[in-house]
Amino acid sequence: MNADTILDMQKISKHFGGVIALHEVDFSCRVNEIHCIAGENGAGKSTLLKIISGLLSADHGQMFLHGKEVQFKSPHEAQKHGIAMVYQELTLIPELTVEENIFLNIEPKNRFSIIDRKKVSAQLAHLMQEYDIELAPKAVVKTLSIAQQQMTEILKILVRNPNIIILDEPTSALAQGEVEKLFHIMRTMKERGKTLLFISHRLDEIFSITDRVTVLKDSRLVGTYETKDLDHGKLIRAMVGRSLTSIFPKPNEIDIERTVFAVESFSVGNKVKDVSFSVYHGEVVGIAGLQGHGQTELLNGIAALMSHTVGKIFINGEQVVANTPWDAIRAGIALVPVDRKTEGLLLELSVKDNLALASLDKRKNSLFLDRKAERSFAKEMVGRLSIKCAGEQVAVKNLSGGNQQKVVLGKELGIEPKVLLFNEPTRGIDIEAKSEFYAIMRKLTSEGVGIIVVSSDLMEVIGICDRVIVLYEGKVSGILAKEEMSEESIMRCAVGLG
Amino acid sequence: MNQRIKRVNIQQMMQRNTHVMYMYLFLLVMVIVSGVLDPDFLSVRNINNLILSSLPIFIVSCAQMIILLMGDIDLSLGSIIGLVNVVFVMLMRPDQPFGYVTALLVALAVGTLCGFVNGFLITKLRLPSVIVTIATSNVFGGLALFACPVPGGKVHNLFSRFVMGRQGFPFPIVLMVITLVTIYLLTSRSTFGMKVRAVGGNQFAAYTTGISIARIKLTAYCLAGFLASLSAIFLTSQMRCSDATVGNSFTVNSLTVAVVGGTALSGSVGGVSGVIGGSFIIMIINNILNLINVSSFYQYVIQGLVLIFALAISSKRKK
Repeated sequence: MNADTILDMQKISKHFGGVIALHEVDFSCRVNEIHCIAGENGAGKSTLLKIISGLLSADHGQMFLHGKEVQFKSPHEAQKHGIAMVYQELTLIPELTVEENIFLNIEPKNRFSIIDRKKVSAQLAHLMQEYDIELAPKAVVKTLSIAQQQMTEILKILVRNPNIIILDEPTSALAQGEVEKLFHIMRTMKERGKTLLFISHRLDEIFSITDRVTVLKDSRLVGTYETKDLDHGKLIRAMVGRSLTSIFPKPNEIDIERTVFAVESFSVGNKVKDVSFSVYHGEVVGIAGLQGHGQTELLNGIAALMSHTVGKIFINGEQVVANTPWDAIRAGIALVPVDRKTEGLLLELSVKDNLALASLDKRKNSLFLDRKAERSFAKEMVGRLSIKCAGEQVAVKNLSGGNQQKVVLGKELGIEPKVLLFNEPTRGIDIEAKSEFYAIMRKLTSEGVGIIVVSSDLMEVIGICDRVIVLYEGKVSGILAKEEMSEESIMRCAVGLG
Repeated sequence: MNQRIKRVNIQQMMQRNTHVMYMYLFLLVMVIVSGVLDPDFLSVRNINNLILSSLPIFIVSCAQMIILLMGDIDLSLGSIIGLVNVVFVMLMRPDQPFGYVTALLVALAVGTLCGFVNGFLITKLRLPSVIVTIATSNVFGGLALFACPVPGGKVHNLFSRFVMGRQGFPFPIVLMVITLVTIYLLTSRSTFGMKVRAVGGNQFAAYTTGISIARIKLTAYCLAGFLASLSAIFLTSQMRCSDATVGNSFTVNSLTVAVVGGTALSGSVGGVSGVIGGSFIIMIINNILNLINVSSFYQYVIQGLVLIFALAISSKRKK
């Protein structure tokens, strides 16, 4: 064992029911390093980190902290040992203020348990200065953006002064600039002698910030590598066990004579202003921009989920009037929403039930559901989208992120859409699932479905889209064709310089 | 701290308190209108009466608010009041000089125990508070009726006069101020209050932050039971007899007061500054209805309508 080693885990195993989540995984990390846990979804990364943070306990194996064996029964116990984790589902109280959240349960107080607000403010101001974070301490958390909420969460961790900080996919919900800011903070933490463990699906991030990478695959350890000894190819091979020359499929022939979908002077409240564009046969159109410049509102507006929309929508040349989501669905507009867990799926219900949900009316026997038709529909979708599950009767919550996302897509395909809107289609899913997902999108476009993708992942936008529309303050600030697309050109438009 | 952040801070604090500010504006308008319509309304005597009649509902509503802050609801508070009232009068020895001491202590203990039972069932059996408190409400109410099928009994005269402030010491006002300050410190300034709000806001967050959800809930329900019995004792001193059904209207009214006072049914949001104003609003409405001789049956209807109205406003505000 190296003298710098702070945490050492040996032969850690964990089962959930009959499913093996981790099998005899060895893992160790050092003082003063940024260490990424990489691997496909379902590889066991989150499980490993949750065992370290005390949220889960291992079935077998030992964990040594500073050379001493430890076993954590709760996250609180791990915190007392200097280990803190930022979970993917943020752990903030939406109605409390930033400072109340940060100091929750460790408030400086007098002997009557009354909180010393002056001390709270002073400590927080000091911490924010140290890490160069700017937040209004009295702001109520629910009014903050996701990035600001994450900063709050990070401050909440830092004020507890841990030695090991665990971040579960911290960048999946952030736009480019926010990621830079987060990395700056992570580097500051490292300078302060802390150990950072984090999960990321973005290869560029791994290479730009980590010292070492541990790769898991199929619940087992593949290996731990020094980042400087790796390159993209090697890392992808370690993660998927084979080399992916390109995760993006080839573009289709685009037929600009046939317009599948178009909006004219479309506005949503004051969030989207006078947007017009069309989608041609065979085309994937991207919508990019910095977070909060109207992308989500534009999609939701087209799907008639927002009130106060103005403008015209055309599908295959015919004008469509959709005032309610039902109208939109009937017209053939389907939306794969941004958060599959809260907006897309009924997690407790089966794969079959979820797939059938959007198109129940299509499989009716007078009053009752035609269960046979429903089963065969589900079987067909599972096959068509190659959803990996133990059967259509399995509850959706037991599926990996990528497969859950496929179920959401399958549900929408049930209504036989003419236009499919995707909001962050591959957030938090692994490379292989992404690649499959892109292939499915391509196939759909060749079948004549118009596809519109909102994404904050510029690599994705450039890779999958034939054209990209960039929004700035709700207005179109640039339309870029395939050959004009680059991270730089998109960013120029996104900040209003287009 | 830079200017922008200071501005956001102030903005947010204003926003957080808009509901309470509007409520006090409404209260002020009510007081002025009542004062114009009936000059007696603002007399010392009527104001004193108003405080006396608002105090029991104010104290119970504090209990309801604490439970609502946790995202739970307590529908048994009214029955606890009835049971405590019966126990208090039964154990009372009106003819002995200190014939109220035992009764007082036992009554407070019984109320707290009722709260403990609620908390125990909700935390240990992991049952939803709505169902548990509806069930225990029947149990507590049934026990009270069993012990005291018809109203009656007597209350220690000296005790009653003291509690009502007729012995030279303004006890009702002192009790109101003490409750106000204590509940304010407890819910808005103490670590306990933060934990209660955390449990109501996001249980996963509370858990990962090391807050024992079961302990907080149990404590809060005991506290609610204690406050309900405090209110019952005050009410009993006012009525000077026992009546098993005396608390019945308090369940709905405590909810109305809490909601009118800006407490969110979804948890985390609320404070005693709203509850005290809410209590006055509800009591003034009742006071006016009594002054213009509205039948008590219609008063129930109006109480229900006020609750629906308050809920509608709070739901609108959320959007």
